[in-house]
Formats: sequence, C-alpha cells, structure tokens
Amino acid sequence: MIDVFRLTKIKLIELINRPLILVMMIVLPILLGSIAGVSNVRNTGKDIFLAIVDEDQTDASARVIEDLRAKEWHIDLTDDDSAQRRLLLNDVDGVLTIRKGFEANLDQIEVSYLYYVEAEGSMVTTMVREVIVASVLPLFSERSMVDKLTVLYENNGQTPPPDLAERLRDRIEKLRNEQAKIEIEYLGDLVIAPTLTFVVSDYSMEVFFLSIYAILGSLALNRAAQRKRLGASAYGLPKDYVATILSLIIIGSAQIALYSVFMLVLMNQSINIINLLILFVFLILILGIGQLLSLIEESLRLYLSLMLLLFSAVIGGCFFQLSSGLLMKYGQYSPHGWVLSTLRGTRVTPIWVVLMFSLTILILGYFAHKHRIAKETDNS
Amino acid sequence: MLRRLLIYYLRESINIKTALFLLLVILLAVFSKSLVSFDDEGKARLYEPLDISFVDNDDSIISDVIETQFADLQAIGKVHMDTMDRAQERLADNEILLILEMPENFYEQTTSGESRDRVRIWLNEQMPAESNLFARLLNHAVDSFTSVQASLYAYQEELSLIVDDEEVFDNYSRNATWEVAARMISRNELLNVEKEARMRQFWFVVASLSSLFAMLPALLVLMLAQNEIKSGQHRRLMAANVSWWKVHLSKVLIGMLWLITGLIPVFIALSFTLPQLRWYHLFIAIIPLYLSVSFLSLALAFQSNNSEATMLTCWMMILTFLLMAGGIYPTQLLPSWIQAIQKFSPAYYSFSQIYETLYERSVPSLLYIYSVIIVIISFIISGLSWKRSKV
Repeated sequence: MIDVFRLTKIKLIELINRPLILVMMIVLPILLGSIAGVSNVRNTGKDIFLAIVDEDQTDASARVIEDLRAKEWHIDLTDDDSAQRRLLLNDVDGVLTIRKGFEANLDQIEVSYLYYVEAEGSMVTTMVREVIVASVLPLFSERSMVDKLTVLYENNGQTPPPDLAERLRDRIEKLRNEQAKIEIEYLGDLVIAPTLTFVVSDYSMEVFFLSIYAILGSLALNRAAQRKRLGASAYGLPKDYVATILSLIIIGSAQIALYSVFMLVLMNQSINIINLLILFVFLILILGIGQLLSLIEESLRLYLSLMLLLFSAVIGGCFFQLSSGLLMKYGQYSPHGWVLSTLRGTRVTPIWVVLMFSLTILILGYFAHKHRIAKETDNS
Repeated sequence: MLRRLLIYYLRESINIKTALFLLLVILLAVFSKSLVSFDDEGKARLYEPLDISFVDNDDSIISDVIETQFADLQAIGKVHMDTMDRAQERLADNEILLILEMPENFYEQTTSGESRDRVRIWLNEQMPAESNLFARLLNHAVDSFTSVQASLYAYQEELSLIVDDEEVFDNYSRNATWEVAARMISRNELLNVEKEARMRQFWFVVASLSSLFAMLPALLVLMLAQNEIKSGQHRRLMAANVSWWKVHLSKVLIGMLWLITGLIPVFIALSFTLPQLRWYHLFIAIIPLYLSVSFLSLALAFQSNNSEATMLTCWMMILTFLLMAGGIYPTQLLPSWIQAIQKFSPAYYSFSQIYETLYERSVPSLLYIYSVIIVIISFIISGLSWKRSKV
C-alpha cells in the first residue's frame, strides 16, 4: 500500500510538472467556469438593456415605460439618434419607439404605435413583447371599459364620476398584484431554471475539457518501457496501474471542483454534491476508455482520441444542446451525452451501471496492458 | 519544386489519419442532417415543436383563450384536449412536453372574485432543456393573463355599482371578457418588430460547426510537419535550401484538398436545408480560417519535439478560437472581455460570414479584409517559426 502511495505521489509530481496538464488542471477550469457562470447568468434573461424613444410623451406612454422599469431592466429614455447609435454599438438589446398617437388611439386594434428594433443576435424579443403586452393590455381595457361604463351611467340618467378612469386604473394596478395573480404549480422533480436559449448548457464545457484531460493524462502516464521494468518486480505492474489511475482521479477531481465552484459562485447557486458525483463517474469512465486508447500506436493514439472525443461531444450535446428526442435516440449512448443528460435530470442509464461499466473497463485495461507487456517481453 | 512537394505531401497524407478525419466529417454531416426539422413554411429549424396536453376541468372562455395562446406559440406543436388519464399516458410515453390542468370552476372563481385554485403543470422530466425554455415563455405569458384578469375584475367592481340585475351584469361581463380576450389573442400585433436580427439557433449551430470543420484539417497539416521532422526530411529540406514558403504552402494546399473533400458531404447535407447558403459562400468563409489555423499549426510544429504536447496545444488553440468567436457560447452571452478580444480569432470572421449569409444580409467587406490580413500574419508567423526552428 505504501508503494502505491509513493508511486501516486511521484505520478502527481510528474503530472504537475507538465505545463499542459497544469493549464488543464488550474487555468482552464477557472477560466471556463467563469465564462460558463457569466453565460448562464446572462441566459436567464435578467439583465436586459432597452433604449426607449418616447415620441408620444403622454401618461399612457409613461406607464408603459414605468412597467418596463419595474422589471428591473436597464431602461434608457433617449432620442432616436442616440438609440440607433447604441443599437449599432450593440449596447442595448433593442430600441422601443412609442410613436405619437399611442395614447389617443389606444382603442384601435388594427393600428399599433409601438415599434421595436432588435439588436444583432438578440434573444429577448419574445420576453420584451410579453412585458409590453402585459403593460398595454390594461391600458386598452381601461379605455374601452371607461367608455362602456360612461355609456351605462348616461343610459341610467347618471353622470359618470369624474375620477372614473383614475379609479379603474388604481384598482387594476392593485388587482394585478393580488387577486388577479395566476398561481402556477409545477409538479415533478425537475428544477425549473428559465432560460433564453437552448444552445447553452452549464456543464458542457467542463465535460468536454474533463474528457480531454482524462485522455491526455492516461496517455501521458502510460510509458511502455517503465511498465516493462515494473512488470519484472512483484506486483509492480498493478501498483503502477492503480497509482496512475489514482493520480489522474485526484487531479481530475480538483478540476471538477474548481470549475464547479467558479461557475456556481458567479451564478449565485450552491454546490450540488450529486452533480459532482456524476462528473466523477464520468471521469472514471473516460479514464477507463483512456487506458484502452493508450494501447494504440503512439503516433496515432492522441489524434484518434481527440477525434473520438469530438464526435462523442458533438453527438452528446457539448457544443449545442440536443433536443430530448435526439438525446434519447442517439446522444445518451455517447459518454458526453450520458453525463449531460444525467446532470439535466433525464432518466438515462443509471449512474451505478455506468460506474460498474467504467470499473470493468479499467480492469480490462489493466489486463490488456499486462498482456501487451508480457508479449513485448517475450518478443525481446 | 512546388509540384514535387505537392505530390510528395499528397502521398504522405494518404493515411489512416486523413481517413479518420473524413469519416468524422461524414458521420457528423449525417448526424447534423438528423438534427433538422422543417416548419410549415418549409424553413429548417433545429428543434421540433412539442405537443402539450390540456386538461380543461373549467371549460370556460379563459380556457379557450389559454388554448389559443398555446397553439400560437412557435415552440408548441399540437394542443391535445385530453382527460387527465390520457394526458398522463402521453406524458409517460414522451409524446408531450407537459400537461396543463385548469382547475374546476376557475372562471366562476375569477368572476366572483374568490381565491382561485392553482393552475397545475406536469412537466416531462425527460425533456428538461425544453421545459426550462418553455417555463420562461409561460412565466411571461402569465403576466399578460394577469393583466387581463385585473382589468376585468376592476370593470366588474365598477359595473356592480351601476347594474343591479344579475343577468344584465353577466352579459356585460361576458362581452367585456370577449373583447379583452380578442385583444389578448391578437397581442403579437401590439408590437411591430421593424427589423429582425434575433439569434437563430439553427444558423448559429451551422456557422459554428462549419468553422470547427474548417479548422480540423490543420491537425493533419501539423502531423505532416511532425512526420517530416521525425524522419529527418525537414533537415534535408533545410540543407537543400528549399524555400520555407514552398514547403509550408504545399502542406497547406494538400490539407485544403482534404478539407474540400470533407466539405462536399457537409455541403450536400446543408444544401437541402439552407438553400441560401451557396457553395462559394461557404468556401469563401472557411478557406481563410483553414489557412490561418494551418499556418499557426505549422508555426507550433517547429517549436517543440514533443509531438503529443504540440498536437494538444494546437487542439486547444482551435477550441479557443471557436470559443472567442462566439461559436460555443453565443457572443451576446460571453463575458465582455472576450467580446473585446474576439476579433483576434480567425474563426470570428468565418463564423460571422456564414451567419450573415444565412440571414441573407450583405456581408460587410471588412470581414473579408480582416480574414485575409489574419492569413497573411499567420503565414509570416509560420515563416519566422521555420527560421527559428527548435527541432
């Protein structure tokens, strides 16, 4: 046992002395974790920047602007030139222009006085539209209802109260936050995190780079000559093999932890132990595959491994999320697809089955290496 | 000399590694084809709309409006009007994204001002990504519903001060509800979107994958150089005073041949789904990217004897370029510091050109000019690396 620890220590030092592994262990997880954190926060659509050109300058237009401000979006009330300039600079997500006549024609269904120009690559138009609709609909209703009530008062021979419109408006405002509020209850185990786009997923980059690290580490620590020498000593080979896997697991786990901490801190979320466990099982799976790939001829193995990883990553949804149909049909059978599906909470191959499979590959890898060394020794 | 070098590198490049590259491209092209579905107008899209089940225990005007609104959403296919048992069956069979259950007497509770039961939604746990996207749409649609309801409540309160007769009151209420519902149904017309520029997910993925494909043959070029160094051919070429640019250019041209060979199945797959993307658009966009990355890979090859470390560095360079270009996370979601430096990535120009072409907008000429400048800079770097070779 002491030998295994010593060997593991030597291998850890050896790995840390490789600049590329060091980059993959420390720099990449911090960098990618931060990028993923920022991107995921932006993907929730909480930070929206709008430029508004109010040509109408009425109570109604002021109320629309107030409603948009109430969403805690960044609203810049400006003139058309400045708004267009900011749009060109991609400083804002869009420009909303409230044309003259908006208030005067609130009861006209066929003509709209609200114009919107999207910024390049904008993902928030649907959301902006819904908020504007939620703001304008009561204005429309208020106007039409005041008209109806006025007619009714007059038909009854009464004078409509002078503050009717104001009273109705105050009441609508109050009711929006109380009685009229629709409560939705989501049922099931899914954690709902509303997003703007499908393309981004939180752990995809970590999964991809973790797999590259695991393969690279497996190849880097697999030296045939050294293993041949160790094969001559008692238990030399199994000890070396276990030490290799242990050292790769230690560094891989550090990578997972660093990435998760940096991403989740930026997203203001707590660390989910289950997710770390899933990533850990994925690490073991790729280490197992890496041990098999390291048996391939030296000039080909890294290139082949990278191509396989790329294929698995694309069909698994690392570069863009797959629809659930595709994920269930193809994606889940790639290592990357399995881990991303499991992290998202989709029911795919159970984690313990994958863990057993990974351990089996690792054991198979050991016997394959042993067989190869025995063959090479016989040949020499 | 250039001709002889070309023939030599062509022979050298016919190996299992090139075959692997071509196989990967073909497999990904086939896979990409299965990603696409078409909408009613025949336009390609990345994600198929999903059906939902609507269990209407209320059967009122509110449920009518909700059903119409759902059917109107692009992300939603059919709205099945089901019983709860049938809906649960569909959910278990992954036929639907969710079940929406309207509680009994929802309309009555609404009109009488009583506290209402909750609208319940069963989400499909096998579709978490779609559920999250849909949840955002729903949360904002609820704001509109709430506004409409608030208006109706306020109207009814005022109405009750004028109208005593229950039947007349109900008639006026119903009329007002229909009017607001009609406005709600046509709510998309409330806002005119003057100029469309929003991110199109399918085009984003096409631009990103095409840029990635374009950079992969640079690894083949790198391996040609590495084999040359290992076999001693590099020293012999230097001793024979062969111009570095001829050696580099011939390797890069051979890589380009394989890139074009690989692109043929990709282009065929794309031509069915994206007729606006012509072969010359694609080639003009990706060839400069390929050239830049290949020359930079050659520069790396002459700086280290450790072939695996060099290949990995090259691989990381490719992914960094793609990330900086906004090909992994869309630009608008990237941190500001990456947005500030993304123009240094050759992939940015290729990605942007393809994306603009897909949008059928004119590609700014600066995108072409900068991509050529980056090719020239990369070429010079590869020459400097040859002259200060450490191998």
